[in-house]
Amino acid sequence: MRAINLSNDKNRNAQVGFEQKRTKSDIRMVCSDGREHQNARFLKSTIDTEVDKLVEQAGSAEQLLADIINSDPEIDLERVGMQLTGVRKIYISDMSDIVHSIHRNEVVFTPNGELKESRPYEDVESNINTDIPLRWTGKLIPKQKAVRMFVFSRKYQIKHINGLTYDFLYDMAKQLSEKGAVMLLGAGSKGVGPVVLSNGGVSYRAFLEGRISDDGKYCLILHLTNLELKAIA
Amino acid sequence: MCKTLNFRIGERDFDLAPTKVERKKLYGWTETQVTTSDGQVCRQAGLDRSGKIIIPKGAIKIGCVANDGQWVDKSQFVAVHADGQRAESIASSFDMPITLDNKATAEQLLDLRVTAVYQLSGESIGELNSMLSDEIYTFPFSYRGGLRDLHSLSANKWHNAISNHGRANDV
Repeated sequence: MRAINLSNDKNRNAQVGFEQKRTKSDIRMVCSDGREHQNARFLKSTIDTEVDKLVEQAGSAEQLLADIINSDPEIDLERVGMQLTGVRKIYISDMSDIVHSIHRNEVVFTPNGELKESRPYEDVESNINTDIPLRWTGKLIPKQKAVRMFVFSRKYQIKHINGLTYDFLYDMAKQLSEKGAVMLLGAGSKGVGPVVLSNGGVSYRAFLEGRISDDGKYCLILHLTNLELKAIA
Repeated sequence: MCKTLNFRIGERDFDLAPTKVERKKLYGWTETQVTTSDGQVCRQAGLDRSGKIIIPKGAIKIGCVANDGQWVDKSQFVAVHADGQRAESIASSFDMPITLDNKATAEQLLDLRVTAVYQLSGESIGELNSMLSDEIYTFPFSYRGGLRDLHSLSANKWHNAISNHGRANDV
C-alpha cells in the first residue's frame, strides 16, 4: 500500500495508505481443449530488416521489390520468432546505433497538431507524500454537480494504518458524507496545486469523497481528474 | 457521417451521433523528444536480454503458448466466466436501441473509473435533454460488440447528453 500525507479541515495531518482496487472482468480466455496457456512475446523483425535498411542494401525500392518476390530479405530467419524476455528500453540514432547520452525535450502541440513550443524536459516530482500534506481547500462541490463537471478517470481508496488514523479518516468521511459533497484537495506550499502521484507522472485535480455506514465502516475515495466538462455556450 | 446510437425513452426514439471528447483535442498534447548531445533526434527501440539484438518499435508480437510450449492459435480460444460457463457475445450498442429506463445516482457514477466520454449530437438533442431533466441513466454499452460490456451512465442535459462509460471500481 502506498503512502499519502493528508490533512483534514483542522490542518492536522497524518500519513495514511492508499490503493487502487480494480475490478477484473470475470471473463477469461481458455483453450477449447482445456490446456493451460500463457502470453509470450516474440520477435517479429529486427533493425536489419527495416524497409530503409533493405532499400539501402538493394540499391532502390524497385530492386527491393524484385528481391522480395525472388527471396525473403525482409525476414531474418535466424531470429524472427524468437521468444523474448527482459527487453530493455534503449534509444537509437538514425544510423541505428545505440545512444548512450541523451537529452530530453518536451514538445508541446496545439489541438490542431501544430508545434507550439519545445522546452527542456522537467521531471515532475510526486507531491503526495512530502513534508507538505495535501490540504482541504474548503471548496466543496455537491456530488450531483461534480459528476457533471469532471471526468474522474482514476480513483483510489484511502485507508488507515492504525487506530489513530482510523479515527482521523472516519471523521473526514463522516463530514463529507453528511455534506453529500466532494472536497477539492490541493498540493504544494500554498495548498492549491494539482496532485502528482508519481515522479514524472500526470498532474491531476484531486477530490475526496466520503461514505460511512452505521456499523462504523467508512470509505474515503480519492477521485482524480484532468478533464473538465463545460456546457456549450 | 457518424454512426448513430438509438436512445429510447418510453415510446420515443432519438438517433444521436456520439463524438469522443478527448483532452488532446481540447488542450493539445505534449511529447517527449529525445536527442543526442549534438541535437540528432533519437527513436526508441528495445534491446534483448543478450544485448545483441536491437528491436525496432512495433517489432514485438504477443502470442500465446501452451504449457507444453506449443503455439496456441486465437481460434482455439473460447471465452468463459469464472464458473466455467461459456460467455456469450454481446451486440454493439449501435446495432440495437438503448432503452433509458434505469436511473442511477451520482454515487453510482462516482464508482466508475471513466474511460471514455462521448458527446451526443443530433437534431433531437434538445428534446432528449428536456426529457432527461437532471436524471442520470445507466445502461450497458459496447462500442464494437464482443464479450464485454461496460457500465454506461448517460444523459445529462448540462452537456447535451454526454455519455460516460467506465468499468466499476471495487471500492
